[in-house]
Amino acid sequence: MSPLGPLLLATFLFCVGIYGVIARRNAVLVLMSVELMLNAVNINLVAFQNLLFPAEAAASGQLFALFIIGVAAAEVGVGLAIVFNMFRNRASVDVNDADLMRW
Amino acid sequence: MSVIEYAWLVPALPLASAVLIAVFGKSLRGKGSEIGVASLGIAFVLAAAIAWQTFVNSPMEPFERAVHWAPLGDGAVFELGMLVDGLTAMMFLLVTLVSLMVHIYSREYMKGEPRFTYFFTMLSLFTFSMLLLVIANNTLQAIIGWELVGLCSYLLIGFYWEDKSNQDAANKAFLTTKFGDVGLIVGVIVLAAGMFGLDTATPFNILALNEAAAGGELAQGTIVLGMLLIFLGCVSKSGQMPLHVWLPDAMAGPTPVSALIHAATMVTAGIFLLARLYPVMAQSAIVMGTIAVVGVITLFFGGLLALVQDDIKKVLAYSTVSQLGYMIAALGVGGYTASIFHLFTHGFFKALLFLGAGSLIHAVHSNNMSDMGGMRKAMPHTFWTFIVGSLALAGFPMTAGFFSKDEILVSGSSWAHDGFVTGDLVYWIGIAAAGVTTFYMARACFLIFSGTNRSHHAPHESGRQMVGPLMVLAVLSLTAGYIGSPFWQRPQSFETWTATPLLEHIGYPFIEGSHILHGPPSFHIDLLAIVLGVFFVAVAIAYRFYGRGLPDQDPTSRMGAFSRALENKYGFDDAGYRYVVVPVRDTLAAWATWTSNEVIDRVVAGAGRATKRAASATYDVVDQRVIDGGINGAAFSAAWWSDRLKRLQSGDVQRYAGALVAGVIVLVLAFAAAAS
Amino acid sequence: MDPNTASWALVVALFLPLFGAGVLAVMPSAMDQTIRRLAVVITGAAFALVAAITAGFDYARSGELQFTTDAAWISAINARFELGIDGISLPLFFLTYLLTFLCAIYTTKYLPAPGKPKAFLALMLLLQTGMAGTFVAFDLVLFFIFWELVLVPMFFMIGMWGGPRRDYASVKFFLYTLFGSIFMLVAFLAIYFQAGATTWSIPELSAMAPGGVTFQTWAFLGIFLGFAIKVPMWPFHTWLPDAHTEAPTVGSVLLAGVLLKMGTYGFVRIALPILPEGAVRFAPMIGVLAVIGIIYGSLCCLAQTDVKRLIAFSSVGHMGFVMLGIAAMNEAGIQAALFGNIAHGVITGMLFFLAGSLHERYHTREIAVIGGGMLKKIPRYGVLLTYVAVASLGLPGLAGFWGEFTAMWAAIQPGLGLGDTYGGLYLGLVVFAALGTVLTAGYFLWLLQRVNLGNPTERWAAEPLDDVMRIEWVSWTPLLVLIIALGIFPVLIFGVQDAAVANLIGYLGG
Repeated sequence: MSPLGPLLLATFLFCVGIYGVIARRNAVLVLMSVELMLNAVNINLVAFQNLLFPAEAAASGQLFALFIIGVAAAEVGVGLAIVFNMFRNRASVDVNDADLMRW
Repeated sequence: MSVIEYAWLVPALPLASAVLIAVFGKSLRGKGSEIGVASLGIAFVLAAAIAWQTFVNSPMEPFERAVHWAPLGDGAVFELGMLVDGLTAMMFLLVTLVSLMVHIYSREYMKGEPRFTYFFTMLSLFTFSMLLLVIANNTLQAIIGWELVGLCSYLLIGFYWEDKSNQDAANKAFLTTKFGDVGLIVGVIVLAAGMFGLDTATPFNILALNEAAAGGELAQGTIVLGMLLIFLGCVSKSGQMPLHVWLPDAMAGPTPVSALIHAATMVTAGIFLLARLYPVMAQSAIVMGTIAVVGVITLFFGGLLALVQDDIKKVLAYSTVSQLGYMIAALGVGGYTASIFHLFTHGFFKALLFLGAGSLIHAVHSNNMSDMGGMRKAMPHTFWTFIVGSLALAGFPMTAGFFSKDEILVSGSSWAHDGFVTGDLVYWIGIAAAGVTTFYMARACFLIFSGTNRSHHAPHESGRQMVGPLMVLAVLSLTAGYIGSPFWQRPQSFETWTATPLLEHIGYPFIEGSHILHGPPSFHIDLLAIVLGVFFVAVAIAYRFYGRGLPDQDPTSRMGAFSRALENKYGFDDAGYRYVVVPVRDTLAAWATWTSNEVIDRVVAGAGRATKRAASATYDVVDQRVIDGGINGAAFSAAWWSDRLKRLQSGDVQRYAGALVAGVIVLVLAFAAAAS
Repeated sequence: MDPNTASWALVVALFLPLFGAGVLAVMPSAMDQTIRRLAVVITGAAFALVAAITAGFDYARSGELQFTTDAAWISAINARFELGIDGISLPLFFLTYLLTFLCAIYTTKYLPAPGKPKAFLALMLLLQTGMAGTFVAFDLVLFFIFWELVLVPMFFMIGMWGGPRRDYASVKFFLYTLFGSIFMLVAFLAIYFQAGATTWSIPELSAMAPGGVTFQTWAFLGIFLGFAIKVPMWPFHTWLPDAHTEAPTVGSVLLAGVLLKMGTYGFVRIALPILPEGAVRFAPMIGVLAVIGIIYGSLCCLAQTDVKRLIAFSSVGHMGFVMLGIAAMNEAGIQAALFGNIAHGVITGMLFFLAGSLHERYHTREIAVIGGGMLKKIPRYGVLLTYVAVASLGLPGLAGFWGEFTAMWAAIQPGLGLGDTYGGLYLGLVVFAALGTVLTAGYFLWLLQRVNLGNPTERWAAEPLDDVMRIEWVSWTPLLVLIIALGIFPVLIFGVQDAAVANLIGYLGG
């Protein structure tokens, strides 16, 4: 099986995620873009496990992917809480408004 | 010897009395005066016993006892000691007797004074100080007594310290005598330093000093310098010209004080001290000459000043100056015995005159003779005692003053025989001054006792306690001279009494074969004739002017420039004030303060200011511009750059993320390029 | 108390006041009266201990150090903690504790604005340790530390409790003295290295007398500056009138009573024995400056209108006599100097007490404003003023006489061969010094005449003024007794010092 398909898909998803993180103003969308990037990585992990170590019983690539999914869920929970708080304080979820850490 | 060993009790008794009066005096019935009288009485008895012992055994070796009182360094020791010989015993007798009389007299005279107890404390303290000086076996102890009598004199002259004139008189007395003390102290030190070369532990010891000087062990220069300096002390203390100026002013004190301190005892301290050191002084013709000249000047010009006085106490004060001049002059012309003999008799009759004057003043409440007159009837006892005193002072034959003054004149003539002109001066000027003395005393007696009462009070005779001492002293004024007169035929006389073995054996090194002691006095008919003649002429002149009471204008003030000179006291007082007191107190003192504030302190403050200026220059230029400039420059440039760079920190997370991605891309490309 | 074994006593006596200062510092300042009483207790205890030391002192061996402590201290520079007391130190040490005790008693009633007894008394106790330490330290480093320790509390005493110009006076006092100390420190260092950099011990250095004439002359110059400013000698005296005039009463008493003595003590203890050759070269100059000081100080007194300033200037004259004694370079001279030290401490200390109490009553110290009549208005006070003034002008029978007379007596025959070269000069010095006594008498009598005698002026006639009060009697009586006791029994000081001074002269090679 050629690794090309999953890799191209992963690359595409990752690029979409990067674009979302860099360009979108809405904080919720930025979070979703982060999820996209994580999932791109998950695809890579599963693909390479099957491609390189198909006989291994431990299937560490898949396990890693499961961890990342768990972490992503937690991250979204925290991230949404921040966004929610930000909205409560500023009535906006635009990341450009959150520049308190500037000089 | 037995009594003599207790000679220390004689000064100790008045000291105890002073302390007791000060502590308990106020609570006693006699306000402390009874303690003074009692202790002086005992002291007098003791002194009389000592006098008797020394007299019958005379001439005797001096009796000396001393305790080491304090080490002074370099092995020298200050001794507290007693030296008892005829001279000491004579002074004991004089001081305790006059002091006792004055204590008794003052009980009445000072009655009702607010500071009565204080007065008696001071009287006793003075007596102690004087006796401490007299008993001293070393010059340092003598200085202590000398200065203490000065203090008592100061405090008693200023007894009525509410008045400025009395304060001034007290200050004048203390400072004038203190000036003389410079001479005394330095002189004593010079002599003691000379002694120190002889390897002694007691360089101040008087006997050792006398023996060393007589033995020629002291350098002539030391003797001349030391004795002239000590003589300066005597000049001031014993009222010699030109430092006599304090003595007449000292009459501001109560009259008993004048009698005790400023007539009979303290002022004779100078003569006593010179007599004590006579073997030293006799080594130098220069010293003897100087002393004689000063004495002669004083005995004559001091006496003249009494002519124009109206204040009875001033008359007596100037006569004291003049009589002290006789004593000093006598010492200067080899009349050792004559001088202290006159000291002895003078103490009695001058105390008598002062106490008599006090009795008069008590009666008329004025010191001025122009306020008296006709007192003969009102105050008979005062009258006859005063006349006795005046006769003795004038040297009327067969009174005490006659014998002693005669001795001085005889000393002068024998000194003249040895070829010294000072002897002639003493002889002839002494006779002239005796005329002056007679005249002013006659003037005083006529003004006081003859004519009519000019006072505003009804005069009355004083009480027993005042008249009693007058009578005792009057008797002594008549009789005390006999032990030194040609009538006295015993082997012991005044001369042997006051002589020491040392004095008997030595002579004047500058006169061949001379002796210090003259031997028993002899009759001098020629001198008696001259003296009598002068006496009667002087009394006659005085009677001519004053016999019928106070003339409209006193003839002594009608003699033009002469009177003016006398009334201005030859200008000494003014000159002293103008050329010494004012320059020192106002000019020099102001100058010193000015330099202290304006020069020395300016230098200090200037150094401070210069340091400050240098400091601020350093601060401004070096510190602030150079060093701190560098530091600040670094800080400023950092700030400038950070201001530029901070803009990267936009706070825009997405920009950071973009930069991150761009950075990753650049790195990937760089690694790729490196790998290929 | 055994002088060989009881060395703890000296250490305890020395640091008890310091400890007391610490105790006072932690007391709440609201306990005003308690603090004052506690200070009396502390100084009293210290004084009692010093009295015991004085009683236990072996007078037969007064030339040797007793109650000695010698412990390693700063081993890097060979400085040791060396304490001891001999016949020269003992009177000064005793006087320090006595005066401080009396000052503490006096302070229970009198304390100038701004009050704050806690700070004031703590500083006074600190000062006490500094002063006392100077007299018993036998290590140059230790000596220097105590010497400098004195400056700080006195600076604050003048600067906080002083008169209107206190800022100026306190800074001047501090800087002027410090200026001299620096030269002194340099000289100490030079001596240390010249002697081989092994010891700072004063007795050991005295035995060595390091360096040649040139070295000794320069080293002496440095030490001279330090001590001469403290004494103070003319022309280094100008800090003194300012400091005295502005200082609070207690400060003046301690300044005159003890601080000035540190200078003369330093000359006697350090400058002379360690640098004898330098001392001999400087002696005539010291003598001349001393006599100028006598005359000059007295003249300045005549011109003063402020009682306290007058007394301050009188110190210049009296310390001149002390320095004249030192300039004589013989036993009698050192004896005179040390006696003069004590006498001046007692008498002038007492005079400053009197000046302070005068100000408490009249609220002025201007002679013209007081205008006379104190003997009528407050007779006991007037009598005391007369008594102490007369003592100060050097009347025999009172303490002032012995220092002055013996100094003159010593100066007529200066030691160490000075008499051969400078005999005439010294004779002149004696004459002028004696003339100074006349001026001294002059200004004191004039002062008495203007404030004591006569009738009170209108301004004061009706004013109710207290005569000497109980607390004043308590704090003054010891000094009044000492004045006459020392005058009648000079052996109290001369006898104690005799052997120690002889030792010292031994170092001088005389």
